[in-house]
Amino acid sequence: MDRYTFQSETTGEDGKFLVISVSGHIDASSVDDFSQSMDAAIQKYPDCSIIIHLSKLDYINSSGLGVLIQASQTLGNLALVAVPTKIQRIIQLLGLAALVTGYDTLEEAVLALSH
Amino acid sequence: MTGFGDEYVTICVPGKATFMKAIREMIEQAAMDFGFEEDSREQIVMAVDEACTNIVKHGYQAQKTAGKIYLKVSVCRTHLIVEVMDEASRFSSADEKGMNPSEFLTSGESHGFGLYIMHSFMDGVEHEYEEGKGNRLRLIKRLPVHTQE
Repeated sequence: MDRYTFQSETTGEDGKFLVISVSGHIDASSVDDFSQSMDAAIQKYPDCSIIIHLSKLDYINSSGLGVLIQASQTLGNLALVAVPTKIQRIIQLLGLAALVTGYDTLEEAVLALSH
Repeated sequence: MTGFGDEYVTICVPGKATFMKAIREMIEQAAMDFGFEEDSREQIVMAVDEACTNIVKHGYQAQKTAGKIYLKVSVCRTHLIVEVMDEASRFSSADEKGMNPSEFLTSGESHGFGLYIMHSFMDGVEHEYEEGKGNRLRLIKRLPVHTQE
């Protein structure tokens, strides 16, 4: 998957969760779109817990990581799902792993955010 | 390190964000050809991407100018050298290695994080600026032992 895409939909009882799926490359050509789409989704669903599904994300640059970290820190109820191994390595190398919560599956994230 | 090594590849692309992916692919291939393992390749690719992004965002876009990015990959004895050159005004290449990325990002700041990545992921970062020509950034990474001559 090459092209950057951003999709969001609510799920769960009463639409309690907003699942955002990001694919492709978050780089200088797409990071502004990513940031604006994240802001818009968060504002549109202020009461939702947010799950960001990254299984089809091929690349993320420092600004994209900044968007994820800041959203996680601001909201609290945000989880990453299916983070590709190479992106996990970058997050760990940069010492950012403690700032985001990751799960292997959507079901695990929903369960954790339900409590 | 100041030597200019044996040239492997040189490319020139417009200094536009849409060319970042092509740059990453070229650097990934070069790093693979020189025997770097996957994790080191990811670090080299990200460091070069951050350098080129800085040129596009802070060099050309911010100053409303157009220009090119020149990339030269070479080997000097035991090190891979990626030279990233532009036609923009002087930029700061201060070593941000001492920063705490967690505190930095949670403060809402992001400017300078790319430099931190370059210094953290590469073994050396050298910067030169020549008036009227532009910036030359050298990103240096020690070759894998099995690749060294």
